[in-house]
Amino acid sequence: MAPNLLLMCKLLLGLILAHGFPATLDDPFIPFLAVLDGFHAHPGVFAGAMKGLFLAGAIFLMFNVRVREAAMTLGLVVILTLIASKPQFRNHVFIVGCLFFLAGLHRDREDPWLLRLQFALIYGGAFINKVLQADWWNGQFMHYWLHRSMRNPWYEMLVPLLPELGVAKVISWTVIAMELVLAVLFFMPRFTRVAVSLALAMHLGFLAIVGRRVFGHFTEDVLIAMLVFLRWPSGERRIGLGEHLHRILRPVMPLVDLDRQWVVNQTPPGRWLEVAGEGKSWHDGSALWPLLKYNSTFYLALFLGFHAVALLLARI
Amino acid sequence: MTPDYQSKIAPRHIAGLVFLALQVGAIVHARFVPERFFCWAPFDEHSYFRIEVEAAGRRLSRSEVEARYRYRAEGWEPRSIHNVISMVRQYESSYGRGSDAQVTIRYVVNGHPEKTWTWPNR
Repeated sequence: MAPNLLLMCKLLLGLILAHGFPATLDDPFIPFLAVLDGFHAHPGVFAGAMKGLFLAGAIFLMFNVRVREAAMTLGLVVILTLIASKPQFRNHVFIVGCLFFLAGLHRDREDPWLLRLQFALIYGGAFINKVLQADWWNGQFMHYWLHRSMRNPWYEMLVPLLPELGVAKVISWTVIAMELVLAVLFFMPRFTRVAVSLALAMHLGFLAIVGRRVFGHFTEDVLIAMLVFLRWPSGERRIGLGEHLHRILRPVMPLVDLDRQWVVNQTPPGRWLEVAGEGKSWHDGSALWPLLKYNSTFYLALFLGFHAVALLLARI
Repeated sequence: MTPDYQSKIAPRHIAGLVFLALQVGAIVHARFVPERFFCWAPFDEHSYFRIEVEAAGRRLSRSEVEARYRYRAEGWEPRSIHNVISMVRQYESSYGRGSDAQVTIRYVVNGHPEKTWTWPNR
């Protein structure tokens, strides 16, 4: 499995653990497949098997042992848990199961095309389900949701600008159009970069407008999943630090290099930072992004920072 | 710093393609049924609903209803309301068959006039 896919799986595991997924591992209850009701004759067997497989998958994944099999196991456990219980069905959990399972099918240095198709399908499905609803055409859904259900301050501020659900119509059709565009872009490999940028803009926009809790952890799922499309470099990277930085940071560099890919040296005089690897090199300010972009600790810090800020905001 | 990726289809990818095909099937299936499960339809409608249950000659409390279906008895539903109805119908026609329960779900979809669903269907 490619390092970026492994990182995605580990962050998704952290996410569902933080949201209490293991507590939902139970015997079947109102399952999608009636055959699963057969487990009621043996109480605890299904729940025990799911808990055992989840624990094994999580441990193997976190300790980098047979990670592809571990990811597939976690994916199947998540999906089976949803199939075993209609009340448990959530799209933000289903997507995690899909991502685990498909990530497990890809080896290192392989284009993750199954995951790209998964995203095309998610946005394509969302587009079809919305565009065929009259309440999405005329803004009725959007108005009811943002006005009656959420009392959203941004929406309330904009409503007077246009007559007769005009603002709701604009938002509805923008969402429908974006989902169609995303489905098409994710389907075509050469537009992946544009697709990722648009997806990030859309989900971060939703996050800013309606808040974090509305979509369960769907926004976090998508943000983490965009790691799939980062082309992670293989082999070692040479990091050069200026004399002062080298003296200060040299001892802590191994702690933030979780991937063990850095070889840290001192730069020639006049430069404070250099990053080089796979035939390319950057220096000074322009080296900061490549340094952060291909480092697991950076994404772990973003993940923890995001949740710390969310927790803080929830308490205010 | 970008590696050359291989993008050949290996036998193990067939499982992934079947998995994705099942999701396409779910999206198509959703065009013929009112429920919206496994078809990527979050927030395609928004409903306010309340489930009321009478069993063994008395009306169940909100917490009893929630324990019965392991789902909230009242509140906002960001997916199709028929997902909730499907859940209640399946419970009452299987686990709850002997309880002779009478269930009423009152719901408002996207701000339209209130509708009622009852069990047993009258």
